[in-house]
Amino acid sequence: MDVPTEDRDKGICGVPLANRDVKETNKRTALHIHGQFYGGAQPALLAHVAHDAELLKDMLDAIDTQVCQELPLVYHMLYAAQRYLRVPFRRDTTFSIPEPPDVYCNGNGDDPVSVASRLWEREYAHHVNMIIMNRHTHEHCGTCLHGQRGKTGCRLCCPFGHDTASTILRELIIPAAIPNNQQEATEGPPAPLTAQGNSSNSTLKPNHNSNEQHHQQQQHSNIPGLSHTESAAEPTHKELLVTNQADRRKLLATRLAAKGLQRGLHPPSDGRCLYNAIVDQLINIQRLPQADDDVPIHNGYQLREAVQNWMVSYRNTKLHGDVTVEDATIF
Amino acid sequence: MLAMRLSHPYTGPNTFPATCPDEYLQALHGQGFAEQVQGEFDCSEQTLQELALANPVAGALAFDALIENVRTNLF
Repeated sequence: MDVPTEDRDKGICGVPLANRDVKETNKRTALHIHGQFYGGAQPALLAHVAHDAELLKDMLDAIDTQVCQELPLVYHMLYAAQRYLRVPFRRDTTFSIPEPPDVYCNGNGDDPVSVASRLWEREYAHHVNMIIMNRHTHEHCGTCLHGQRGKTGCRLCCPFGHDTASTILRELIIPAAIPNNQQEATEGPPAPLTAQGNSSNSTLKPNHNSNEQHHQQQQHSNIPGLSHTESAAEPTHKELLVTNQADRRKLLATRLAAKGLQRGLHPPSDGRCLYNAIVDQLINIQRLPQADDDVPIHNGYQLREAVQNWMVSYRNTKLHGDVTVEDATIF
Repeated sequence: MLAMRLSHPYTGPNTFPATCPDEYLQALHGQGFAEQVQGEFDCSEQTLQELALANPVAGALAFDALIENVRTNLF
């Protein structure tokens, strides 16, 4: 920046004073930058005004004009619906950013300039929300647990907790193989598997002469996602291990099926919930013929457009019905 | 999209990659393999991944242009 500070234009973070960053690639060679930017509401300035309610409000209002960490509910639902229907996400980078009108007016008037400006704002906001929905909806995965920060939570700072019921590898053991004096101890959170997939508990010595246990082993071996592995140290020791990601998915499906649920989203049991209405409508969309040429919607692109248009029309609809904490986990 | 265009050799001012034909954009916007292959343009996921792998300089140039654009117009 060779322009004097007083002559610099104000950006989204205020008047830029300085910035520094470094370009990097991650393990999948995706380019990204790490950097610091100095300008606008710097931490020192925030600290100086934090004790004054009026100044603090002004400062936060200024920040809120540029930063938003909310996504309208319909986009959360659209994201969920896309996953539910296995519709591929669009390639956002190939869609052009909507261009503003030649003359922009930030107002509520009925003149053509104001109307055109508002139309562009809606189109632009939709474009932005679609990108956030497709590319910035975080779901916990293996990388969240890497490094020091991953030991205490999501290292990507996503605030909601990990779903320990379905995303953590568990050591699965045959109940009858557990000695009586250890059964109580193993009812708590199970010990995680090591990187090689070996059990961290080497004291289990199942009695393979027992017909009852053999019968139970046969039953467990029929469960998808479970496999018997031979331990090199103990050739006669058989364990039930969740061996890989695909098996984990099968195991999850089995567990959900046992509960009478399908893999994927679990619609709230409350029939008045807007979510249920949306899922019903999605099914109807799949069955509806197109108006112009009577050809049914048959591909993901057309279905996504139809779903998107329908859901955006519910932009201002309030979610009603009693949504419990358990129901909220669908998102 | 810029990286993909930079990955192809220049053939003339009125042809791809100097211009972006509608057929090319349709192939890029396609959701399945059948939609991602339009005429001479193959924008299937495998082809794009191979293209990016074979042209890392194009990807770096496109990323640099993006970052400079953000610095200049947003910050």
